[in-house]
Amino acid sequence: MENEKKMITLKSSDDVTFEVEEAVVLESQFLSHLVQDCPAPEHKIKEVTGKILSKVVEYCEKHVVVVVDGGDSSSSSGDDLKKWDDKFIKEMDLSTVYDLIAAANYLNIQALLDLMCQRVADVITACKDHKEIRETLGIVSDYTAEEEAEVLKENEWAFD
Amino acid sequence: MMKLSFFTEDLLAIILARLPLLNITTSKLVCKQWKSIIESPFFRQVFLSHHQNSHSSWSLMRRNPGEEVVAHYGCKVWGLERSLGSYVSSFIAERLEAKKKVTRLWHRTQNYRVLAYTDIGLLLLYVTTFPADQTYYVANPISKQRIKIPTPRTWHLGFEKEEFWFVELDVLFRHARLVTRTKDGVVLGFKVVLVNTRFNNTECFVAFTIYSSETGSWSFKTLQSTLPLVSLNLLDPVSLSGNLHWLGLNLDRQEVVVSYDFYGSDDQCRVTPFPDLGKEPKFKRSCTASGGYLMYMNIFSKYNDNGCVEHKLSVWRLMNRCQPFPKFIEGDALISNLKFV
Repeated sequence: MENEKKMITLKSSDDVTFEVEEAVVLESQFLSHLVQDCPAPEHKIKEVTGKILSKVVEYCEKHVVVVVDGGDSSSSSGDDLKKWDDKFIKEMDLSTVYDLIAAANYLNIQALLDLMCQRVADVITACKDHKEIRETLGIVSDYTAEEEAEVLKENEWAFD
Repeated sequence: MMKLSFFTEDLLAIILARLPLLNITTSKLVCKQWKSIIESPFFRQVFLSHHQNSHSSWSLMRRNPGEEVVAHYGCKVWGLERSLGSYVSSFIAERLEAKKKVTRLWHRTQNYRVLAYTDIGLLLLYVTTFPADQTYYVANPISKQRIKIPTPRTWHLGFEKEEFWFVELDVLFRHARLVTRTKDGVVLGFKVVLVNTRFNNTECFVAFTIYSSETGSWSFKTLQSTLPLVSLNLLDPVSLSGNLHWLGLNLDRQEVVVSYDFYGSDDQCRVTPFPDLGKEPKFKRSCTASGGYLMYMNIFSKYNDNGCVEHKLSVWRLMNRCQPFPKFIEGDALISNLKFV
């Protein structure tokens, strides 16, 4: 009986399909509502590409397994999960991180959203000043020199 | 390709709220959108909920000669790994080290002193350089930033306007204190305050010399009404949301808290007797700040019928807005039946 878990197929915007257990889908608030309201075997997610959906599925599968195992070895699996999360985001480029934030926000997967937002925050924190933040994140400043001097003056606290 | 700028402001706020407080000021300089997000009420709400539980904890900010107590105040909200006190000492040590390198040739010795703490973490530093130079700094020990405050001139101290007040300048300078005005945890302004008092049997005359960050200058002001006090302890007042709270003795020689609101409109000190004047508390009466209130706590012991001693911890908070006078309200609900045997 245990092996006969209910399977659901997710289809990305570019028609890549993923067959996952129902429990995996329930990690996403959006998808669990979708599955409940519309019991079709296949669900198309127009807003997420195959590349990103594969990451989302990978994350949810990992997290759902640990929650099930959590009963017997909770603390070590918690640590393992943290290590897995770290490895998951470590080699990810910022563009993928942004896509995952958008996807996690859309699919309403709070833990994934938290993880990805923290990753961006860590990148910002590692920058030594606002110019480095702009370079790293590819932001074009819309301040004029005078306006920037004005903000700098407001924040005199921060610059000795 | 996906870009950060595609995100809604709410999502950006959620990301930025995860930054340590230190980096938030820098982030305002990135672009106009980031500045407006960081200054929005939604951002503050997310930031505070992300760094929650930091203001409910007890904190002690009183100092005794030779011993300083700054507990883990605000550690969570500021993302500190150590207690605030340890940041203060390493901040000062670094400053001294840096100065030594610069001034070695001049053989000048320098002395740093922390004159005042505030409930939001800013410090007032007093730097004396031999032979005769004194400077105030308002400093943030976590971000290691500081602002130099110009030294007041003698005419700021009111000596010409008032009859001669017996006070040594050095003592007056060392009694400077700091008050801040904040909104939702953001500092809007600060004032450095020098306090001078004169007693005349049943009256206490109070005068302030105040440096305001808003005007950038010192001004002198004498309180219109005198206070019915026989003494006012100018050491270690508690600085809390724009107010200073000193300890003093009223005409009946009862211990009182004397408060003045440096951002308020009424030009009066408020004198509040301690709530337990009839009893004999275990510890010397003193106040501390917690959760935005001035708090007083003490332990009272009494003998039960069976000869056992029962100790009761009582906690009060000062309610400033009680009419017609502020008073201490006992917070039974704050204590869950704490007993010592």
